[in-house]
Amino acid sequence: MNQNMTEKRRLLRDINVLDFTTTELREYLDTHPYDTDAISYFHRYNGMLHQVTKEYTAKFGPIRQDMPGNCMDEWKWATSPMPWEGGAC
Amino acid sequence: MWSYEKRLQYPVNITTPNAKLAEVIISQYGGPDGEMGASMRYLSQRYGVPYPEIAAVLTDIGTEELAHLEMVAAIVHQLTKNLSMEEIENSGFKAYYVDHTIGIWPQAAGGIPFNACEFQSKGDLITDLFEDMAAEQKARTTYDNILRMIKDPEVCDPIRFLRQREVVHFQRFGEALRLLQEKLDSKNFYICNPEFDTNCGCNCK
Amino acid sequence: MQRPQRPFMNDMMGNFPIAMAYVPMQQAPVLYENLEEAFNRGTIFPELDKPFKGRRGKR
Repeated sequence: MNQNMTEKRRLLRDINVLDFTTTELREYLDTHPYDTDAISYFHRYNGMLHQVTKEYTAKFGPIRQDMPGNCMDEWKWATSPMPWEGGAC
Repeated sequence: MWSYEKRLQYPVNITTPNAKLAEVIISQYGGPDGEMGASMRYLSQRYGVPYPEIAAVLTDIGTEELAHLEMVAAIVHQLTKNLSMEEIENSGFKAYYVDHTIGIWPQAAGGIPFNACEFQSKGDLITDLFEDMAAEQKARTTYDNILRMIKDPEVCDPIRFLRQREVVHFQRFGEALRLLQEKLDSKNFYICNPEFDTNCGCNCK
Repeated sequence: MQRPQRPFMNDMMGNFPIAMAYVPMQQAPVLYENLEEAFNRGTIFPELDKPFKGRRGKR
């Protein structure tokens, strides 16, 4: 159980950090649309973010509407706790 | 259009209730320089913007402000959800409690409900970008004021994050203004309104 | 005074005309090496990292 919590926290921290990095890069690129270095950084971190999100979703439930997970007997998007009540936070 | 991600942009894990802090932090939810005003301001200003990069800045920052709105609500919720009746009755929070219990409702710390007078969308791109830069500074100052009052690191942490975002957003709006200045006539930036006048923003002299 | 470097801009603006305000463009930005630290601080760009340390104290 403890191992699970640690892994959940680790994956969530990675998602938070990677999503934040891509958000910062997106906002930078909006005003620097021809900065090719920044564009490569974005693609790199965005790819990593996608991977970690898939892993988190498979193990702990969905956080994105377009990645509901594979579960066929429970709509976890609705049954999992909200982020301010012990969910993805 | 918008998607929702079931995750806070930055974690909020507050274990100690505090009515006094909740009473002031609610200003960043529905107050004059808060996140609701910020998101509505930037998202409203987008329409009629003739330059896609500037519309992109307004969209992306406006969207991030919605995530901040959610964080502020989470902070206020966690500060109030375990308050005892005694703590409520002995604090300035009791006035809010009587009308909203511990629900989240957008108002300023002083009680003024959120309203559209708290932001402007002037329909003139130079004016709107200055409005946006000022808004980010006002939000930063509000967070500075809140930070002086906080001793609990669990509250300090997300507030410091939110404050730093304002500094970055100020820079982006300033850069959007630079991009606009490039497209206008530097001999007279105010000769026309690029959102309204058809003979505008073509670098013509 | 040395003219500021603005490699992305054409030269139409020349100097900065008055009756307007200007924010310098962020140029060739460096990112924090430790992105987790960057996240905790609220920006991936060290040059935009401007913490608050004000205290009222005795007056």
